[in-house]
Formats: sequence, structure tokens, C-alpha cells
Amino acid sequence: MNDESIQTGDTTTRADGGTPAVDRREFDFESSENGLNWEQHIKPVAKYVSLAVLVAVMLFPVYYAFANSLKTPEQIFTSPLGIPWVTFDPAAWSEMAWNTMWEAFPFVEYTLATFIVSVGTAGLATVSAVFAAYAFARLDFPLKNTLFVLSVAGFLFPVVLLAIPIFVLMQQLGLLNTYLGMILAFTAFTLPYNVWLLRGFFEDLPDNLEESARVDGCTQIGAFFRVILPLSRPALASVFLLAFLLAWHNYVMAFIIGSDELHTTLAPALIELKGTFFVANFHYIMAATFLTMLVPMLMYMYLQKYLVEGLTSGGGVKG
Amino acid sequence: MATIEQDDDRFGASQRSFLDRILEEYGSLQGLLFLLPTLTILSVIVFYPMLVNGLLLSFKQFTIPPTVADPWVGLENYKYWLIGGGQALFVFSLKMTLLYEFVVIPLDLVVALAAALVMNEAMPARPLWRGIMLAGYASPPIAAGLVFATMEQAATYGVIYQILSPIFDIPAGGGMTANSPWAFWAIVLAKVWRDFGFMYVVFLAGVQSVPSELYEIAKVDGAGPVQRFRNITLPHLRTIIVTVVMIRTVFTVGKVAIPWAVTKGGPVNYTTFLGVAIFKQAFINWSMGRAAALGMIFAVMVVPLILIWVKTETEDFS
Repeated sequence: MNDESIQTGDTTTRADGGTPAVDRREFDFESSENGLNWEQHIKPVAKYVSLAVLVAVMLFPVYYAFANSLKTPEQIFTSPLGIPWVTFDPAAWSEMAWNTMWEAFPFVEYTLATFIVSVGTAGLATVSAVFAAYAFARLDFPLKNTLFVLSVAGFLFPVVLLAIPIFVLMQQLGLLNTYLGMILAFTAFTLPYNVWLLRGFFEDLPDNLEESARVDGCTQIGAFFRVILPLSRPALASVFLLAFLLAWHNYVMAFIIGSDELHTTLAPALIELKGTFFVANFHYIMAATFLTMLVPMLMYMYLQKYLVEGLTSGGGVKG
Repeated sequence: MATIEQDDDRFGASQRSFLDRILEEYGSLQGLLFLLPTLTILSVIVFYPMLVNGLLLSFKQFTIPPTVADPWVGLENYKYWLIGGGQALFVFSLKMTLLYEFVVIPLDLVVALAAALVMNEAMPARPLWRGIMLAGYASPPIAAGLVFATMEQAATYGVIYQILSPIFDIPAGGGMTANSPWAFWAIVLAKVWRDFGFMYVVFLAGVQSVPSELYEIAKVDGAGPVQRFRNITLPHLRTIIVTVVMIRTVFTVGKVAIPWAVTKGGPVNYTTFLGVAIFKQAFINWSMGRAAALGMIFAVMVVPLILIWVKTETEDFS
């Protein structure tokens, strides 16, 4: 599928082997003597064919979840690929997932819990990370190197290794089945990356910013709040969004900390739904899955610029 | 620093807040104050439980609910995995994890590189297509896993099964997700769809940063597209590729969500990769002591990789 462009490349290279006129040299893509010219004939076709394949492959699972969420369970069996506005039967609305899932399962609560936890995580992580990153980038203090390594080393640490220790900790602290427990755990996972990303951003700011602000009468703290923070808005937005998405996406921690109905986020709720009602309530699974995908996808769509900035400036993200 | 303080003194102490005066006195400690929230959260949620709960638990017979009065068992939990009853599962799981890495990471790499090269070309509505490439990365792993698991069932709605079954001999009972070689590929498909977006974003940024003059010069010199890719694009991306492959390798070992959503580690233990094995042992069998020991064994294998990464990332930092 996505090997399309590469396959095309191979085919053309093989074609050159069969063309005696250009032996010992690579296929002459620019010249029209060969009949086929890379820039004019092959490249546009290869480009748009690969584009079509890539876009279709990326969109199909999303379409599949969306289209089937608007069908009755019988319709999913009979026409799983049917376009929703063709298959949609208004008379069957009363038995459709989008109508009944809210009463059949506590999806209002799940969604609300997911929002609370994700916003809480994003807020706490951004505020904590901005101070730490500023200190690492622009202040001098004892043990700076050691503390930096400690702060970012957790970035690559597999979450599942922390699952047991954190489960026991949350039990000891009485934070199982609380939003606070989930927020703290997610914040701890997202912080190393956020600190690292913001430190890079602060380091790129001109050296004399604070000095000039202080010459102009600002206090040191004032310079941080009035000069540095306003300049960092795009970086703060990336950090906020990435932390929000980590919390929204995470399954393992949400599952072990929030096991009761009112404190479970959408990811564990989906697994629960699959385990209990795989075939009979198929339309519920499709609707709930689409709902869970929808929010992060809308965020990506509107805020692509910030997210891509966040992903590329760090060179890596916990996903 | 001295000049800054002199500048500041011109405004007099009265203009400075109490907090500022404290900071002025203990200038070198100000950084530590800024670190307080981050270090507190990391210490309480990560370092303390990792050392105290994680390490100690691995020497205890700890199940939920607890079953014995004196839980200390020394190295029994480690022996269980390395030479005892859990050895077969551990070795098999390790093998499958390595296979998973060797399949997923190169696939991610090839797909992401191809997508980045295509999206770097001029075309109408390019920002839209670029955004669509991130559909996988935007969706929660569990949601991606569930949609793929559904499409891989042997049924009318199992689209991927319908496409693959004429070519391969996939048993109709259970479809792809419940039959042994296919369950692995069922996970791989979902994993690559969901994960390649990260590498794609990084590669796209890398490809965009290649100076276009290089390509122009190469064209004038008669280099074809394959040569231009091999001699300009690839060398330019080499460092990025090495970093990203390392990050993704470490991430993929410990990820539970997609295998769990697609197969729950089955059939039997066929897709129980190391992360899944720990998760299952701890939160399905509730045998926490053994799971913690497996986690420690796993950590010993992963930590060197993490240290290499930390070293490369911090060596410019002094």
C-alpha cells in the first residue's frame, strides 16, 4: 500500500536494466528518449496513486466506525460498508446506538470523567513543567545536571513497569477510583517529555530578554511572567495539548486506578464493552469507539500546527 | 550576574517584593524552587513507588487479596520466571516481543518515510492530506485496536478478513484475532496504522529541511530520483532515523493497549508480549509479587537503552 512509491521506484529501475541505451548509468529519468520521463510521466502518477492509497488507508477505519455506528446491529451484518446516509433508517432511530447508549451504559459519566482527567492533567503538567523547564534552561543552581537527568529519564520508561508500584501507592494513599489519582499519575508520565520540550524552547529565546526587562524596571519574577511566559504561548499550547492527549489515550493507568463506573475514562470503558457484548451490541462498540476517536481527531485538525511543533521539536513523544 | 544586581539596586529595595528579596539572597536556590512542583510529583508518583513498592514487592509473595501472613519469599519470584514454572512463558514472551519489534519498527519506518516523501511533494489541498496522515496517531490505541479487531473477524463485517482470506488460509472460526499466526499480524496492522504517524511527522520535518538547491544541483549532474533519495535525502535523515527508531523501540516493548484491545494476549499466550505479560500477571491474575519481579527483569533489559538515550540527549547540556 504505502510501499507504492517505493515499488514504483523499483519498477522504473528494473525498466532501466532492459534499456540498452543507458547501460552503466542510472535510468535517465530526465530525458524523453526513453519514452517515459520521470518528472513528466511517472512522478505525477506515482504521487497521486500513493496519495490516494495513503488517504484511503488512513480514513477507512474512521469511516468504518462512524458508518457502522449509524446502523442497527442487523445492518452491520448485511451492509457493513454501506454509506450511512444510504443505509440510515429514521424509523430505526429508537434502537440506534447514538440514541440508546447513554442509558444502556454510563457514557455521559465516562466522557465527563475523561474530560476532567485530561484537562486536569494538562493543566497540572503545563504549570509544573514551565517552571522546571525555565530553571533548567536559564538559571544556575546546584545539582542542575543530575536533576535534569532525573526529570527527563522517565520519558522512555515503560508505563506498564510503573503500573504495579503506582497501584499499590494509590491504594496506600486512598486515591484509587479518584480523579486526583489519575491526574497525578498521568502528570507524572507526561512531565518528563514536557519539561524536555519546554527547556528546548526556553533555550532558544535570546539570552538578554530577562536582563532588558529588569533594566526596564521589572523584577526577576515579573520578567518571567510578563516577558517569558507571553512569548512561550505556542510552546505552552503544544505541551497542554500533548498532555491532554496522553491522558485521553491512556488505557493501563486509567484501568488500574479507576475501576468503578464513575471514575473510568473512555479507554477502559471500551475494553469493558468489548469483553461483555462483543457481537450483540456491536453498534454500541462502533459508536463508543468513534466517540473516543472524535475528540482527539478534532483537536489535531484544529490545532495541527501546535501539535506538530510539539512532536518535532522534541524529536519524540510518549504515545 | 554582578552587573544585573547592580542594575537592580538602582531601583532600590523598596520596589522589590519580599519574594524577590529572598530570591536575591539565595540566588542559586531559586532554580530549585522552580523545580519543586515537578520534582515533588515525580518523586511521589514515580521514584518512591518504583524503589519502595516495585523493588520490595518483587521479593514478596503478594497477591490480591493477600493470602499469607509472612509474605517475604526472597528470590522465589525471580526464580519462578527464570528457572521455574514461569520460564516457558517468559522465554516465549521474550521471543515474541523481539519478533514484534523486528516487524513493527521497520514497517513503521518504511510507511512513515514513504508518507513523508509523498506529503513533501507539491499538490492541491496539501495541508488537509498532511492532517489525514495523522488520523492514526490522533486516535486512542484502544479505539484503533477495537476497530481493527472488528475488521479482522471472520464475518461479513470483517473487511480485512474478507480481503486476506482468499490469499491466505485463515481459519473461519475466530478469524484473524483468535488463530495463532494471524493474531500477531492482526496486532501488527493495527499497531502500524496507529503509530507510524509519529515517525511521519518527524520525517516530514526532516525532509522539508533538506535544502532544495541540493536536489537541483543533483538533477543538473544527471542524478535520477533513486540516486537523489539515496545520496541526499537518506544521509540527511540518518540521525533522525536513528533517534526515532530507538525511541519507538523502547516504547513498543512496554505498550499494552493495542495487543490488549485486539487479542487480549491470545490465543492462549501467543501475543503475550512482555508488557502484556506483566499487565496480565498483575491485574488479571492479581499475582503482584511475580508481576513485579518480571517488571524488574524487564527494567534491567530496558534501562541500558534509556541511559544511552539520556546520554545522547544531555551531552550538549552543561
